[in-house]
Amino acid sequence: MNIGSVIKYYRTKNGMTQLKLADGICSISHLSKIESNAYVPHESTIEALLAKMGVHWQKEVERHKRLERQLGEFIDSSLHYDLENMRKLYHQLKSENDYIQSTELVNQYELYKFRYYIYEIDQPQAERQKNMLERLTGSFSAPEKWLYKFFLSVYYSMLNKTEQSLDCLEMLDQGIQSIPQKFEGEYYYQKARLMIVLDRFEVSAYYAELAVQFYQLHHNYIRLMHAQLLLAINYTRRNLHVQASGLYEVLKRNARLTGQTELFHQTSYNYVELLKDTGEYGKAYDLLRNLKNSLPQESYLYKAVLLSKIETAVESGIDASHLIEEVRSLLEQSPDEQVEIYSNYFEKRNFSQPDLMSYCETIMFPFFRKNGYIKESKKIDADLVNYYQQQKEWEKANFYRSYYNRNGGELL
Amino acid sequence: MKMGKKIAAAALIAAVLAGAIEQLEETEEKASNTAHSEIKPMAVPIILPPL
Repeated sequence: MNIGSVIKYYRTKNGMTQLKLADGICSISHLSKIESNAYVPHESTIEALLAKMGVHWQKEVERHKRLERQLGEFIDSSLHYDLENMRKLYHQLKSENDYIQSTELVNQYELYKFRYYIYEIDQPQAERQKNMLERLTGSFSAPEKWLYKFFLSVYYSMLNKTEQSLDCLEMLDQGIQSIPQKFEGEYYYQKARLMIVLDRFEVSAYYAELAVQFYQLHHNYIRLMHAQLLLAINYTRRNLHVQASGLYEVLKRNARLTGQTELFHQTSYNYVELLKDTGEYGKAYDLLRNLKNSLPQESYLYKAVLLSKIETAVESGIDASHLIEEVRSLLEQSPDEQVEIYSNYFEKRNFSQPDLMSYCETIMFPFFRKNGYIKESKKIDADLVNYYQQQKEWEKANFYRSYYNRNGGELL
Repeated sequence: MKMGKKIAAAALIAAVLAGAIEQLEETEEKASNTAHSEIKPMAVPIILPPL
């Protein structure tokens, strides 16, 4: 406990000068040294200084211990994805914000507040917090610096700035720096998650499996489910249907049993992708119908479910026009360029291939590239390579193939 | 070695080489076709577990 900072906090709060506080207790220069934590005074001096401001020393020690405990719990909740508890503690700690600023807990507190805003996907608050932390970096210890970089990587992931996110993450794995032990799982998990976005399935599976092992070992069950969902998505994309199916069974059951509704919906959505891959369109369609009914219309997942339903309908020869109309009316209420592009794509797939390819080339490919959707642009790109090869337009085929190779080249 | 034998040997090598090149081209073509025929159509947006 930095007692000097606490004394300074109360003196400023009471609007007292150093001269007034020190009067009759110690010299001003002595008080000055105490306040800057350059000197630890005798207990009787601390008691006298605090008593002059109406503060009870023993109570102060207890308050500090309580805050330390609450902050520890806040950190633990963050690591175990206990958002409800995190929210509660956030408000409790926030009510003592000024006091925390005067203690040595401030760096940890501010760092985990940053993580909290990212969990809540509160972009403006997270950005303000990032700017504030940038000013604090000078006072960070080595593990705190690591943590800041790590949260920064997660922050960029939230903003879909994949490359910046990867840059931050890769810096953490170099040289003599080691991953703080309790962050091992989180590090593997974020890396696996990022690698899926980048379409690097082999690497992603490696890290997702490490994350699963770590969370299992530490009984971190909610995060374990998150890592398993990453693996299930990964297996599906790599056509490892049996493995994916086994994981989805576990996930659907456990997400339901633990009351993780959002995760249950995300799992069902991804499970449908597996069903589509194995040609079980009827089952997929039914699941999507149930899923759509249990989601709020304004959520992004609702729109994604709608698109998935359109795709399933198109693949199984069901008329999708009413679904496309529903997307259109949703887009009128809340425009979303990405959703619009997808719905146009599925609509065009019913008609001529040249028209679809021209849409892919002139609208979709530039849009995905501009917004850093590497996985999506690679898919469109691969379609274009295939198309131009069939058309024997070698120059264009070559152009798109070289883009594909430049961006990792790992085929699905 | 007699001239006739030399020519015959050279012709044989040329024939083997030509065959090998043809086979190689065929394999390459097959590889590139298989790779692309396995690509799935544009999938719906990916929904990942939370950050």
